[in-house]
Amino acid sequence: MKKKLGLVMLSTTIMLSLAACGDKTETGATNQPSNATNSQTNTNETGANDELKPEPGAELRFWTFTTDLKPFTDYALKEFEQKYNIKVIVEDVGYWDSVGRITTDGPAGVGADVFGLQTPDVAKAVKAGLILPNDYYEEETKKVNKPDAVAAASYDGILYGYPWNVYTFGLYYNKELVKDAKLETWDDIIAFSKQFNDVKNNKFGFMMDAGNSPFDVAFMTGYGGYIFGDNETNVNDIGVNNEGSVKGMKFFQSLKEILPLELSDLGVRGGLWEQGKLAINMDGSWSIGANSKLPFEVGVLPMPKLPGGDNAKPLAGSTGYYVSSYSKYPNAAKIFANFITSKEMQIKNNELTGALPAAAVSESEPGLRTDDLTKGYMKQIASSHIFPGVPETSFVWDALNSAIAEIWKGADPKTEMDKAAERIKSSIANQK
Amino acid sequence: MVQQLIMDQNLSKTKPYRKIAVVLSVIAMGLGQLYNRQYVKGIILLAFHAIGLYTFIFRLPHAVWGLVTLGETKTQLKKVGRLYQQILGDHSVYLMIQGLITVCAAFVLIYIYTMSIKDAYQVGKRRERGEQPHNFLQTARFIATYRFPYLILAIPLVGVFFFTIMPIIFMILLAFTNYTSNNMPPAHLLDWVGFDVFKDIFTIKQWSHTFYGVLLWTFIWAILATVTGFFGGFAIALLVQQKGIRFKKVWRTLLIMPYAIPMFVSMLILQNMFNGHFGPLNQYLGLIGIDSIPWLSDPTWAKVTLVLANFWVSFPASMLLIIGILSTIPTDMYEAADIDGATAFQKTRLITFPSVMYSMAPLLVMSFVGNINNFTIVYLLTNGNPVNGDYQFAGDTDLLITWLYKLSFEQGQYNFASVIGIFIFIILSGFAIWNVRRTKAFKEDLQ
Repeated sequence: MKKKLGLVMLSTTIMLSLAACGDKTETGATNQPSNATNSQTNTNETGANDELKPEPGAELRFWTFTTDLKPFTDYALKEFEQKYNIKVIVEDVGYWDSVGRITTDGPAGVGADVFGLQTPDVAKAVKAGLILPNDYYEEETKKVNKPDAVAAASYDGILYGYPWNVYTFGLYYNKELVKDAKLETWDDIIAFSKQFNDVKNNKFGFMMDAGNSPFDVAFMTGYGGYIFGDNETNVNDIGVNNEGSVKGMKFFQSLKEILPLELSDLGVRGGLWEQGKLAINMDGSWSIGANSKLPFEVGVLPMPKLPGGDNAKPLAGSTGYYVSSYSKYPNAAKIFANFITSKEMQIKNNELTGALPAAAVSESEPGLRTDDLTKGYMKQIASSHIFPGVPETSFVWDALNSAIAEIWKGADPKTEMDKAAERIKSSIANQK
Repeated sequence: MVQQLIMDQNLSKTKPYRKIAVVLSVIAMGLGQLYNRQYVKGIILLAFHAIGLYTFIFRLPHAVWGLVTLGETKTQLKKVGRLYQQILGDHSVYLMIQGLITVCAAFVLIYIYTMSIKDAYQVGKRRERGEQPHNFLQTARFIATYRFPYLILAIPLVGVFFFTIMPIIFMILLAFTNYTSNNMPPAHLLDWVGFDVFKDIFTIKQWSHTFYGVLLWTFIWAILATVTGFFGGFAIALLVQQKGIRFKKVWRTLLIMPYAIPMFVSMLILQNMFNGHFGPLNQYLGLIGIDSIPWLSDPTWAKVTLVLANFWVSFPASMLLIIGILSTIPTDMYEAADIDGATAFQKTRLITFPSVMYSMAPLLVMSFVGNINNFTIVYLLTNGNPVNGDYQFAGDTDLLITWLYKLSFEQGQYNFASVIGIFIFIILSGFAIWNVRRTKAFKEDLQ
């Protein structure tokens, strides 16, 4: 009998903690349907012509990739706080991590009010209901930025983001190693590498992250290939196995001649580049800042012409800032997002960190960096291929990576790309 | 005093304490205890009754509704003038978790209810026998003295409940929903889809092919990893413990090194060592004149590399254990064997090996189970690569657990990941239960 008493006590303890926990979840950010009225009714309903005013007592939390952007964020936040007297807390969350973090932190009430997203994540965020549309500043955003950047920040015809940079892939070259070699076409690069390569001593003419399919798409698009039809929007038209894409992959396969390595061994690329053992390095525009600090002079080649085709067109995406739909201060968040992505701020950002502005500016815009790297990339952006932003894109890279691995090993490009297309199709068909 | 006793006995003959206490307790928790003059206990239980009523009337209907429907109103954007506003609806995942907690709480309350009735009955019975019911202090003291283990166990039990059992139930439930990255709450509501996901895994060719392939490799890997680690450690322990080996301490210290370096660091170093072109290993092979080996880029070689790397980090632990066991084997056994003219091999086979296995067998089973789930080494060394075009989101060296990771973190296929999680859970718990049941402690407990 006493044993039973003990059990009663035991369950008591459990019960108490259960009750405590139950209460905790109850007071969370969830809403009962009974009171699922507007949890975020703004005290100042903004009409068509009213000025957007920040909520009184607003305080914002801002996620961005501070490792590279610190000089800019410090500057922009100071300006913003001076002008609006709103405190902003910055946390270091990369744009590529934002979606995952806000999915859990948003509903829990500890997420950021404004965070960065890259092209492929926008659709995810919209589909999960994590971001608010860019409504108040819509016209301004569309006027200032390049159409591609606006498209990348939109989903289903509604603009969500406040674009602030564009990124693409390009060829960095080490001026001391390349000297005055002619590098106008890919054939030139192959010829140059053949005489420059010294595989025994780890010297290479050209290297790229070949196992990473977004890099390799540049060759497909150069021959008229694409991932999805209608400018990367029509998921029923898969172009990874059309004639152009296969031709591009055939060319890609021929690069093994000058890059006689396994895909898994290419991780040393960054190290060789910094040691000055690599002449031409395919990388992203996000490395402009890092590359301007190297001990040797670096230039950027525009993507050269492919044999019997156009210039290789690398994918180009855009990063924007977005307002969380869980924000307690949506108005202040919108004002802030717009403030740090204005044209002037984008130019300042380029000056401080090297990021390429999403704004429609010419190379000679006053305030922009005038070095070779920025100039080269500004040219490159103009002839690039838009990054697909539809949610189905997530199936693409995995299938392409497999195909590329086989092609690099010497398999027939046509067969492999057909297989990849088949996989993407079946993934899209099976998605629920 | 004597009179008192007689009166009590008379009372007990006339008063059916048991019945009244039970009836009262059925009406409301604690009433029976109050009737039994156990006032504090009664009040506490009455408080529970109040909590119970509140839970059953106000919380349970909503919880059950949430669990059954997983929400009915979608979250929507509404345009007010120029601005959009988010109208929050139901969040399926939260409804699921809350529903789980509430339903579990309801079960606990029902359990307490039955216990309180039993308690009222027992105390009533004792009163009929003429004993004085304990007052609260006595009860408390009794629990603190005789039921102390229960009291202490209650805390970890709560932890187990919330951090082990609840998440497992939650994961199992997810396997029956359509929770994928294309259908994310709060913008979408989840639905129960029954066994559809299980069906898909076994009927859609790409999924089933991947599942069988990964499962097979997981088991092969677990066997190879366990066996190589154990026998490697065994052999080295025998070597180090040989008579006539000098500086035993030095060797032991050197050999424990791989274990002392954090796995993260070793794996990153090994990744460079095994690099097909720049790795020192292939460089040395080249010097001898052997063609470079595709350590990480060929499916079969990548598997071999994994086993080798695992051997490197796991043999020191078993070596240390076995050295410990070796020192406990009585030397007179070996002396007797020597007199009988046994060879070294016979001594190892007939004396050393059985003695070691006697202590190591349960540990071997546990390390086998651990290797089934050896996420770290695969993730850090090969990340499941080389990629396999016929697999769905998996590479050639992916184990079930790393595939699960890729499915949930990289592909957002949460429901598929849950199904894989259920399989892993079944495999591991099967082994764990079997292993515990074999242990001496458990067997003695049963007798």
